Amino acid sequence: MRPELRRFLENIQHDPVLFPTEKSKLSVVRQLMDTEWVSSASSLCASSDEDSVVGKLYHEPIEVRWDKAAKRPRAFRWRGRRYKIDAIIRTWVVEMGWWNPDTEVSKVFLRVTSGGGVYDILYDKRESRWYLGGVAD
Amino acid sequence: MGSQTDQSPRSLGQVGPVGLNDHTEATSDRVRSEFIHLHVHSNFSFMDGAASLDGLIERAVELGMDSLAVTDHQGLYGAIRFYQKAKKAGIKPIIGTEIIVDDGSERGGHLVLLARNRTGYASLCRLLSEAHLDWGRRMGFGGDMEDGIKAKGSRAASAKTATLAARPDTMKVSMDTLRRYPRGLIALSSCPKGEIGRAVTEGRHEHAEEAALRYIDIYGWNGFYIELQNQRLPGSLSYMSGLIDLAKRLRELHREQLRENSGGKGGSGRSRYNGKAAAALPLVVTNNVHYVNREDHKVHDVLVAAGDNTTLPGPVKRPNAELYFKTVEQMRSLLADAPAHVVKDAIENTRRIADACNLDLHLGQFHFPKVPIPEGETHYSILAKETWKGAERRYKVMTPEVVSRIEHELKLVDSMGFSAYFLIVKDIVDFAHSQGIFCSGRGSAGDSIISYCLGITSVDPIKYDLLFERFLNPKRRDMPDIDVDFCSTRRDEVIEYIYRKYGADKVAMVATVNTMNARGAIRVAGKALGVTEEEMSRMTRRFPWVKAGNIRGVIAAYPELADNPLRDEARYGALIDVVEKLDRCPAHLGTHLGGFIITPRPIASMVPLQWAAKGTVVAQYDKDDIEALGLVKMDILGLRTHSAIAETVGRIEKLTGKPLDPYDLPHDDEASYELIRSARNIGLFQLESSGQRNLSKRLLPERFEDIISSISLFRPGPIESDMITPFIRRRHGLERVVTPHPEMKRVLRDTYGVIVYQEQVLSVAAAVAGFDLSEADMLRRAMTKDKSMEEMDRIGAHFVKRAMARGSTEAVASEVFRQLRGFAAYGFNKAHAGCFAVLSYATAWLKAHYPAEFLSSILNNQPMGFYSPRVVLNDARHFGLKILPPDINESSDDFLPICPSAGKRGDAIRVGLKYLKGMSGAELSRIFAERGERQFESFAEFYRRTRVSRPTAENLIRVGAFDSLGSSRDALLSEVEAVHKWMMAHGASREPDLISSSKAAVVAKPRGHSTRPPVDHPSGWSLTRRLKAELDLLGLNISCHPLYPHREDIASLRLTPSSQIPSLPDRSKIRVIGLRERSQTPMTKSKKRTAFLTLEDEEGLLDVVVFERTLAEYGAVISRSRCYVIEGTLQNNEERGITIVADRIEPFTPLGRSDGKGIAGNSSPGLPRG
Repeated sequence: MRPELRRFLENIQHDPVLFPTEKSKLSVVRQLMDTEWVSSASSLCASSDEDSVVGKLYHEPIEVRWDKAAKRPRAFRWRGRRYKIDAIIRTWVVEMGWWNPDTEVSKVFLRVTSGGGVYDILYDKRESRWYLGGVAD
Repeated sequence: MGSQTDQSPRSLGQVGPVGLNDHTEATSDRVRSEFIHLHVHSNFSFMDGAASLDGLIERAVELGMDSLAVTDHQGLYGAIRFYQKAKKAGIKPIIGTEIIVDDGSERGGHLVLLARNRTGYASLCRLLSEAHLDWGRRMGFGGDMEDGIKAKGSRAASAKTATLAARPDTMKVSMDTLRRYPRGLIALSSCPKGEIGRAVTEGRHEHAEEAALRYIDIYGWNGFYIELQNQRLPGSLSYMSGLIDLAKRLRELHREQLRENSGGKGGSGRSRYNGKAAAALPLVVTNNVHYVNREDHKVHDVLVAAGDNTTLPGPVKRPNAELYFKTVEQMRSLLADAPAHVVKDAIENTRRIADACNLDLHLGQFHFPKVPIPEGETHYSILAKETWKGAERRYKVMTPEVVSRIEHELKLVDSMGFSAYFLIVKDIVDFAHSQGIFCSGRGSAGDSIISYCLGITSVDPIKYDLLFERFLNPKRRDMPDIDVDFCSTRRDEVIEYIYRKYGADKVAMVATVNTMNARGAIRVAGKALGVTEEEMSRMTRRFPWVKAGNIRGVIAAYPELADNPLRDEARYGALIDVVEKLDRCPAHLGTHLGGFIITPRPIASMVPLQWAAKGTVVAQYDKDDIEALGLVKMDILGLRTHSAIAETVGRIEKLTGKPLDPYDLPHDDEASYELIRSARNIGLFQLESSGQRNLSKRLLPERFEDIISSISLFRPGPIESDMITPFIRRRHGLERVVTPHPEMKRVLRDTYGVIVYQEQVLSVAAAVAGFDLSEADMLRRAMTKDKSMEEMDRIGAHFVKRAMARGSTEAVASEVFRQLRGFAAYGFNKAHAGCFAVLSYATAWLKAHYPAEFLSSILNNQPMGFYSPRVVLNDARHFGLKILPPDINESSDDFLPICPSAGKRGDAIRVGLKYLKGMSGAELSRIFAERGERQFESFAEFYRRTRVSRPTAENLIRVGAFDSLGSSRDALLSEVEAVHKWMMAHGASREPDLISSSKAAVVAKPRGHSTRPPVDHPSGWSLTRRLKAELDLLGLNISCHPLYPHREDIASLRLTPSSQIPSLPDRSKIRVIGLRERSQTPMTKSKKRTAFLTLEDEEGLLDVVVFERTLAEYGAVISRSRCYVIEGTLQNNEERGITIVADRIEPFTPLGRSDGKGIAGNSSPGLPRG
């Protein structure tokens, strides 16, 4: 793993982009987080419910563009289309099953917004690859 | 902890004349860190923490943090050592704990408590003690607190308690207990498993607020904080925002309250909190640290799963590895979404709390229990009177030397403030003596004439050149430590006396922290990783008792591990990685064998207590912690040798009608020394190991001091530095006694110029360099510690300078120092050896004069010593004693010496009935009760009257317990069925009238044995059958030695019996056979492994050494087989004694067995099990 990527994954700063003032940001973000469709998006990543009406679970490789100056992902390319990352709004880490190579998981998830959509992208540390984990739109 | 009898601070800062002080405390010049970790688990959160204290402190230092909290689950288990280590590293220690509060929920809610100061520390101790002890009672253990604490509680321990003690993590602290001890504490809301965290997670925000206000009511507005934890889980941000909201509501409420209190004007209301205090949000950011580095999460996962007896992922199914010791930047980034002022408050509050926590445990102060003294007296005045009184008893002639020594010691003891301590020990020893309970002091306490005069020890320090300063050094002022051994079987009486005398609320047992070695770590890791029990058994069965840290090296190097599954690196590499990291990880809290703490005030205010598995109350601290706290610790140790001696003496007194004090015998009995010289030392205290038996033959003791030397010489240090050879050679005149300085020759005259004892280091330093004895002891201590070359050079230069000032040349002084340095590390405490030698001599005397009585007592107090009961019985045969099988009318429950006639010494030993496999206590009681009425005349009568189980009855027949009734064993076995049926049909109320024992013996033909050849033994059983039954059902060989039936096979192998070995010349090629009795495989100084085997043939014991190369080839044979034929070279010389150096080791297979099974495989009839 590249050092700058490792540093980023260890120390991800979320974005205040959507809501410029602290006060407004906090309440709106919380509202956003508590909104059912976003909460469901979260569970999408652990769900295999393909019929979900609010989002979809994927596990497809993506290409991530790196912003050298900002030291963070700038955009990702999925199915030939480029998605500019507007904001990283949430992150979580899954580090499980190390005792069995077949079930080992070591991933960092980033919930990002792009053009009004919410996407969960993830970096698989074992494979050193980026994936799209889910889309809520 | 206020000190009551504290005299002056310990002289930690005092530096000896040669700069020998090794107590250093780093001064904190660290820059104040903006963030401090306040919620941290070390591996003292047993099975839920993977961070060592050293690791945590090192990381804190590395990250520039000036303070650190440790908050282990449900106790302060590692608190004292953390406090000491942190101080030494220049880190401010914050002592705390994470408890589970009984909040009404099923699992309770976590809560972190931190001690602000000593009041807070005492609150923690009280709270934890009350909670643990109450919880135990609520779970159904014990009665009131006193009953539980008393030693007799231990005998009533229930399985429930064992479970409880094993899982103190399930304990819940009641809200009442929490409210009772709030002083000096700061509380944090803990993790999502806290009451508040759970309520927020579940969206029960009103409950969260209610709970927070409840805790604020207990700890005050500035004594309670909401913990913000971002564990980087999908729900972490929502969780945190809920907590931030709660903190804001709390601040508003606080402000409102302040306004109300100040009548709406703000400022100086009744509240002790000002507006500034309410300005910050009551938030702290923590990381619930469970391991130092991210990669250590694997160890943590394993511990948690194994602790729950489950396989990974374990009960928690932890989704990631974020609970590591994060940097300030990493902690800050966890709050990246929060408003700046929230981040500021959450970070700054950790600093504020760290600043508010200033616990000084005042280590180095002493806290003696109260010893009642008459008005007008002091502890010292009573001690002095008792000492002089004792001196009159001990010394028939009060020489000036005795007088000045007593005056010297009394003066020092008084100046150091230890009079009360001596009086406490005397009180306990006096009680034991008054009850006829055998006991003896040991250790360096034997260096004190006060101990001798008070009857605590039995070795005259004047006669044997023992130096008080080795015991108590006025330059150090360490708490004295007098260990006393008591008769094992009556130790409980002493313990009960202590509880009675000093108060049950002021006494508790000392804990031990059981840490993981390789075997334990393999079990823990294996359990978590789902290794089957069968595979685990293969992994650990022959695994040596080594540390877990270098397990790969051990697996590769040890021949007995050649087929260990762990050699499959591809399969078990991950397991081995974890095992290595579990090295010395605390596994659980144990109870010290005999350590008791006695405190001046209720103990629960000074140390935290909990239930131990045995049902006793135990401190959460080990002996080092207790010593550091300055509390009085008494080791009330049980010594089975005392019990065996007491039993023997009881029998002798019955025989002779005269009292006998085995510890006050004149030390001039030639028969006792002859016994030791002959090395027939089985059962002799401290002299029975193979090495000691060997040494006895070489040293040839003639006087009491030789026994002291023998005990001191056979220690790892003297053996490795080869002090024994010059000692023996010089003793026998084979080499001249040469010392670099004439004074040294004088001081070391009793040990032929060799420094054997620690006391001699002091004497040499005093004689050659003019050190006073306290300085000399500091020198000795300095030389026995690991010192850098520069430090040692500095110490040496100081010694040489002082010696030269007294007229030595530099060369001589340097040589003396070189020798001191070389031997000081290995010297043994002579006083300790002297105290042991008193018991050694007593056992030798008893064995020499009353072998049947003595060896019966040794057998009755097993397990003790080096040898199995089988070997002790064989030893008895070599003393001409007959070994008799159990007899239903003659045996007691234990081994019984049988006297030929009244008043005569025993000439036989009768095996007791309780050794029979499957015999229950209830059956034994019924047998003795019925026999008390009248003796048994037939088997049928016995069976009817005693109602023992059928297997027990049959086993009794098989081992010959009915032989004396005149029927054959087969006949009786045939009768069992009929008698049993009759009993089932008619009950036990009357004699079976259809079958009489004699009739059955005549009519019942032994089934299935019609082809057996006739046997010339009243039992009707062949020797082999009898032997097999004895070994199978008693674990003993009574009829003959296990090798006896194989004599013909053995004869064809042309072997040398053990009895002929001493007469063979050195370096003879030799071939022997023997059953393995003991084996040890220590690592030598050169890091090579050598096996020392003690084998037994028909005529006695054989000592065999197997060096590394041979061990590599035959290691598997040694570990898998029990009986070997060994070819080797005999060592038989004065320097090395008698040992066989093995060249070739083969398992013994009796001829005529083509199945490959034999003695070695333990499948041959009539052989002891391996």
